[in-house]
Amino acid sequence: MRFSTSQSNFIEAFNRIAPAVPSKSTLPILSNILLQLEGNRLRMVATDLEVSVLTEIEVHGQEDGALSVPAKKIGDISRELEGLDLECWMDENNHLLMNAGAGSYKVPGISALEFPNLPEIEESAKVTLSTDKMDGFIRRLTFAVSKDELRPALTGVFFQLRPNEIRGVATDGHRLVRIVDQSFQYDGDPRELIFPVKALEMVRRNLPEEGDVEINIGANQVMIKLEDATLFSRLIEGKYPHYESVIPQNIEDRLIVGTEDLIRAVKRAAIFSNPISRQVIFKVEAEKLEITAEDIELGGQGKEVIVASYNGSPKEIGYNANYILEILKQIETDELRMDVGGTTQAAIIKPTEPAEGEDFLMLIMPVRLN
Amino acid sequence: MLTPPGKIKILSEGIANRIAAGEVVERPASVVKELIENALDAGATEILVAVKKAGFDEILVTDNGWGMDDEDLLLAFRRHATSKLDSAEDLLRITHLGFRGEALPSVASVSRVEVLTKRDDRPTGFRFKVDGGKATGPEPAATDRGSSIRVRSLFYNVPARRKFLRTPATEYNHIVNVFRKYALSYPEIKWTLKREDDTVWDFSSSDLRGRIGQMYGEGALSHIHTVEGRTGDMFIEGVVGGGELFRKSRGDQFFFINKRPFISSSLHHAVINGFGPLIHYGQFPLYVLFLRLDPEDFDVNVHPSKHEVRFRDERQAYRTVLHGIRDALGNTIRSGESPVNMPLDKTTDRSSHFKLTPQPHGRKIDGREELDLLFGNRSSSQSRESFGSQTTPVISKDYPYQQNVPKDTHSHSNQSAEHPSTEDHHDSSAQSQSDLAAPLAGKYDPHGETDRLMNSEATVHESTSDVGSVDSSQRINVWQLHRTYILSQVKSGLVVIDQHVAHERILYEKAIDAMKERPWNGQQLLFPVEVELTPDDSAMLEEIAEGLGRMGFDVEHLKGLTWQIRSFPAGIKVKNESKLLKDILRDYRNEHELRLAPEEALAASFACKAAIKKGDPLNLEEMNALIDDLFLTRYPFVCPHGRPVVINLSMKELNKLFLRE
Repeated sequence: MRFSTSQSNFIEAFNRIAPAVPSKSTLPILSNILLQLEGNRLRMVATDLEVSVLTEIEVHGQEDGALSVPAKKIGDISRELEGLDLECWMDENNHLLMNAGAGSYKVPGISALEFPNLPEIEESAKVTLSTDKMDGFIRRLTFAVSKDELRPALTGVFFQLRPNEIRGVATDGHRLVRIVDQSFQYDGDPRELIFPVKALEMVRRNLPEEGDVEINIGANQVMIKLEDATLFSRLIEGKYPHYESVIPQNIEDRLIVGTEDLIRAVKRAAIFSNPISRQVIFKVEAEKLEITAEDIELGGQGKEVIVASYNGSPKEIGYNANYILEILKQIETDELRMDVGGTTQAAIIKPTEPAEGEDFLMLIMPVRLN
Repeated sequence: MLTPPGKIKILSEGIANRIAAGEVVERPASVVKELIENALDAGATEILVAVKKAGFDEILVTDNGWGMDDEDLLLAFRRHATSKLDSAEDLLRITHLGFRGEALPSVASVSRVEVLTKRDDRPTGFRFKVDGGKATGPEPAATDRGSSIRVRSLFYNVPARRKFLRTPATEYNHIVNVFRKYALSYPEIKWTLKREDDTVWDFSSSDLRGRIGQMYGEGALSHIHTVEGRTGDMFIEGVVGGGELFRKSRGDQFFFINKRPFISSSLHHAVINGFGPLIHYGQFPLYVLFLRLDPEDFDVNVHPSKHEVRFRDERQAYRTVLHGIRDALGNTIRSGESPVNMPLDKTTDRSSHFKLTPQPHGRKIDGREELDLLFGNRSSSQSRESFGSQTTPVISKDYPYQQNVPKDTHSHSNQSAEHPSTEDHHDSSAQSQSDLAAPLAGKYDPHGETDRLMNSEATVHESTSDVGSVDSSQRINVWQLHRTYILSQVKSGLVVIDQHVAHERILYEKAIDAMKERPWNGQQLLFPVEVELTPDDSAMLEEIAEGLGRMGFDVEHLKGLTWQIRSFPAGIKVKNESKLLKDILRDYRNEHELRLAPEEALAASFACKAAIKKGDPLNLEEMNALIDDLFLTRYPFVCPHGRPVVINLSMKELNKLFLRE
């Protein structure tokens, strides 16, 4: 293997795949990235065995070949060579040698044969989403997934493909996000997939400015083709809970409040909440929302009053401030709508004006006030 | 408990044989002890002990009790005559002190004894003399109510025994110790101790605190914590001394059972364990602890000199003492009454003392502030000043009577109380504390949890703050080490907090509080979790469901062995609700056997299982919240299982380690 290219070309490609390199791994080879030269195409691959990212760049190729090299070392040195041209080749002892400017470097690598193969996708369905939509789904869903490794299904984002409808759902058992998009072209069989969060975050990082994203769905793997990179991900196996049944249907008590006002009020009140429970109390009555927090042990108290429109009976409901803030941050409209149920019932939070063809709702379970 | 006079009987052979044989009179102090016990049994309210030449020349014990008549006297000086035991059954119900009926004849066989005594119901008193076993009298004599027994020339006819005695100073010290024990045990009695006709102590009738004031100086009282508690039918009361009253040697540790003094290495261990890291190896707290228990539930007849006691339920005794001490210290530390020695600081100067300022209602100090307060860089002179008002100079230096006693004699006085395990304590206090905790902790295995950090890279993990978190820019001096310990810089050096046990302490107290006063709010679940339990667990859950409910767990029995969890305590990061519930049930079974009350067992199980574990990453905000909450607990330095929570490494110690002057 021997090639030369500009530092910027090389580092850009490197940065696309580097996040897939696991920060800690018991398998040393996973700390490496694969460099593979065929003609003038240099392919770079990183994987943690669940999510793999591949990218290709044009270089000036001289001799085909492949080698895996430590990601950190190659990234660190390439970053420091700004403005220079790199010339790279490998020797018979699996060393990568690099000349740049007045410097020459030697990085010990591992034979490319030891680097894991990319998964093969037996394509059974294919969907195309616009970059915007993909971004919107990922951005609003990933925050709500569970970190409980004992319930793997909840650690991913659940997608349901139906004729002309795609749904994305995420929940950790305390809050839930559901996005239903009906402006979506799909004519295949209904499918349900659970995506690992890491894969979605990698996708979002590599989303192009505009255009489409193509998702090829296999039995337990997906391949997502982006403009500059291709991502492979295992799908999470397991049964996703029947989430529709926990979405309250007939809550009539509706609060309309300014999104930014509410976020600020909750943030301020939460400063006075107990640092562990983070509990804030929403007291709703006609024309106003009062948010209070109290740390009984430390003795602090905070109270915020916001003008709001509310049509129901007065209520007092406790929430975890962190949970509610994360939810509020997903609302992009000036005002939001909160359907406030009973004290043991989830509240529904939505934008006042949903995007066209989209139904976006979030649920939060209250804290039972003893 | 006291028997009317004139009932002295001869014990049957059977009883005499059941009483372990042995020398009653080992040394002058044993004579003093026997005579004091006789006086107490005679219902005395005033007792005088006067010794000459450490008791070798003369021991005189005078009381104002019931006294004896001529018949009593004759019986009293026959071996195994006792007015206290009728039958073998009685032996099981010993509540008297000198039941053996051996005392007077034994004393009389090795000394010259003269008794002057008068019974209230008799017009005259009597004099009775025994000289080397030869009796003179009883003959009528004029005397006041009560008895006065004078023992002269002890061991004059047993030269071999004399050889084994120690120096007069040592023997005198033994006498003082005996006197102190009884004076503490019977503070309502007026006690006088004289030595060579000089009055050493003259204690007026008082209560226990009063007596401690008389004995140790009034200043000691501000460092005394009241102990009070019970486990089942075993009661404990008394006092324990805080940091100012820690000693470098034994001598001020007193146990009584039904007012009878005894020594017990295992209960001493329970006291030390109760102090946790507040005390370290080589320090001995002052304590005067009275256990009260049905006489059938313990046996004093282990050794003829009656120093040791065997309990029917040793673990109950251990728990009673341990919890008594913990509660006493916990209450005091939180209420800020008294300074306690700073944990684990091995420096001997008193700069290490801290005092928690009593806090106005509704306002508590934040954790970091408190850490600085505790481990802050107070100079020695400052802290001496601040405690000077509470400490009388005589207490902080030596015992009041010590001017009469050579120092080295202390170590002999209670040698048999030396606990074997204290011998091989490691220098590290943390280590020794966890050793100490072992008997209580039972199956508890804090490090049994899987170490998820397989590779031991020595990174110090500092995370960024969370969403919606309060501004934490002013408290950046907190780091997480190996996802196990929280390190923090304080003025005096470095503080290390074990994240798991710290959280355990916090949750334990919250859970107790939730069950007793303020129920915990429950974070409700979108998807109620169904749990299948074993029949045992299901039955146990029925028992504790209400307590769990007050802690924020909303559990409901669905059918058969299926339960549903609908909410769990708000603010607890629960990864898996059903596993947590099962873990709690399993742990509760063990804890239940070790703890006093079901609530405590439940709180301990919950705290242990729900607390963050070794290996859990914490961000800055979480670490600060943990520290804050820790110092809001009543007893921040010891986890519910007795392990230390906070360790301080002072700059002084660090400098020493780095050989820096």
